Amino acid sequence: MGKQVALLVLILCVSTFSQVEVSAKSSHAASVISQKPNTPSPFAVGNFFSASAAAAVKPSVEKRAGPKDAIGQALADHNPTLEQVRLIPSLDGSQRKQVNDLFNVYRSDLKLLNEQLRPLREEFKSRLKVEKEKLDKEKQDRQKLALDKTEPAKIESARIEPVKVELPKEEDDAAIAAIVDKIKVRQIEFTQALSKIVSPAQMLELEQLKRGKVPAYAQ
Amino acid sequence: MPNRNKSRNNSKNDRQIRHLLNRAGFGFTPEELAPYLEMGYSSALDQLTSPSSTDNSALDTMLAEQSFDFTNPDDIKRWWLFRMMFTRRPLEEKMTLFWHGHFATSDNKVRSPYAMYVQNCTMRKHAFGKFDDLLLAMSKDPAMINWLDNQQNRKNKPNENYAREVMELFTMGIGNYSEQDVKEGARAFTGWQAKPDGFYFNSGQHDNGSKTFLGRTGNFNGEDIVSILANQKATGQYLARKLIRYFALYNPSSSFVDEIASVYKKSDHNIGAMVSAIFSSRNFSSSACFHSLIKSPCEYVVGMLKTFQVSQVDAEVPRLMASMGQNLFNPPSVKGWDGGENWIASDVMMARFNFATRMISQKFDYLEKYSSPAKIAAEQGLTSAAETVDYFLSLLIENDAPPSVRERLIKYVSSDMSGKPMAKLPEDKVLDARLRGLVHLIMTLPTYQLT
Repeated sequence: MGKQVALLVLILCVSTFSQVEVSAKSSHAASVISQKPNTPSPFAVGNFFSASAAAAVKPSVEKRAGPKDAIGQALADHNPTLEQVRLIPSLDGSQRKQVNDLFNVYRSDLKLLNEQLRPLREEFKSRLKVEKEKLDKEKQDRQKLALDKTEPAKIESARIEPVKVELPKEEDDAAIAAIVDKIKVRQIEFTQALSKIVSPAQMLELEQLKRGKVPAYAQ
Repeated sequence: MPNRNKSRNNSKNDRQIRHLLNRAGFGFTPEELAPYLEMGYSSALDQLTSPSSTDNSALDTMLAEQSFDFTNPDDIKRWWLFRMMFTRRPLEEKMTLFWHGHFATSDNKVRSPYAMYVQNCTMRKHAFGKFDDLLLAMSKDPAMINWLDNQQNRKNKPNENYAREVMELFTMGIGNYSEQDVKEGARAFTGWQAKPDGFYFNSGQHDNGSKTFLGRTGNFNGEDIVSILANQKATGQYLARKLIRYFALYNPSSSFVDEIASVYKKSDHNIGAMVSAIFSSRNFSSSACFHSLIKSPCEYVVGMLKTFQVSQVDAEVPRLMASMGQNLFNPPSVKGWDGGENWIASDVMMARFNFATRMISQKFDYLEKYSSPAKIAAEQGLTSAAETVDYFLSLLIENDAPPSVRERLIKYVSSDMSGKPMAKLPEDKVLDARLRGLVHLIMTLPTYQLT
């Protein structure tokens, strides 16, 4: 790499770095400067080649959070997927066929229910948007009135605290809640049906695979 | 963090060991570096190339605590990054990454993270052993069988995909076989199928007839083809060139390739012996080899996490690496990643710079072990701008910067927020920002993209 290229990148970076600088926290800086160098490192436990003393250190793996909305959380399906069930080594041919059939029906039922749910949720979101805009407008009007010195009566009425209006929640919508309930019931029915085909021991096999057990040839 | 004087004293041996660890692994923490420096180059190389002699139970314990779901595509990526970061057998992971690119298989088609995970374990198991064993294991690997359509390779309707790629990409390389060899090879692999628990030989779909393959005639099956291919001179040459390009030089001389190919033959196809020969060669210790390869996103990201001791594999990391051009378990094609200058193409370079920004922002400050630049500076007792710049240049790019860049960096550190020069190092928030800025600047230098 040429010197000129290096300098060009350097100049570019100096100009783009101001954002980081501005956000620096002085109190933090002071505290880190005063820290002693003997802070233990997660990598420094014992000799590098020694046995598992470093196992005491527990680095974390930050996982992606699931859905944040109430409906999304309610709809979380804890049943295994077909792809997961298919991994169970001891499933015989007959079980595989039954599992495939069961999943086919289950998926098509869920698809149907979700097709009913989707427009309801979209409609609810549209309604919510309208209501939110209406509330915002009322709030703005009230603020404007409060500043209008030419009409004292209006100022007085603006000062009266409005009744606090809470926006409706999706999970409280009767039509949506009914479909969500149907989906949950269908999920439970599926769990029960699956357990009649796949034995607990076989589900345990799946659990072991999920936890990382590999076949002997890969060990 | 390393002793300041020691860190600056890049003796030839120290420099070579750092060079070795960068190439044979994904960078290092000071604590990882120290024992290697103590044992010297030759012993360090022995240690790295015989991973089973290094206890890795600490990693196993850590992994067990993470509750990964190996049927989840995101989890297997984090699992592997976790291994790269915390393993005490760095070359084992680096070799596994090599084989992942060599026997490139993508979950985009396989659609089974678990099968990809098992393939990864198989690669790791055979990473340093006899190539024949690895090639046979890959030929029987369920993810590979699905990836290259061998499930559909039947007696009366042979599918040539695997037979073609096993010669073109996995062993000899193009130009060393004919179309007829592809057809005959495909017949030998008929009936090689996958079941959930591994390989399945479907004898009813296997072609038992006589085949003529690379000039030899017999009632060959897949095992015979693997053996014939592993014994080809071209295979030794092909693997030697590819390993050299991965570990040492992009454009090796033919004599260097011949030298490593001869190790393949003499060692009875032992991959560990080839890798060891590369790292022991004069080519590897030459100045032409130092900082001559472009870091892959794995090297760039894991190396940076190690330098600053970020003891967390952020859920976003695999996605950020994908935006840098390396989506683990999803190589772009059967050829794997092209690497080289493609790693720093204009469309992915900004993702690297953004990752560098993320690393020195306040995102990780809450982590007890995170070594922010200011924390490192405090630990090292750095008191002047020149001293600070020299330390970080040494830590991050082995002092491989032209004097003009060093001068610019010193000027940057010793300026206040408005750019006016200061007589001594700034304090508090200005210092913290300046040091984060300094490190960011070094990490976006062309040299930092190199290994």
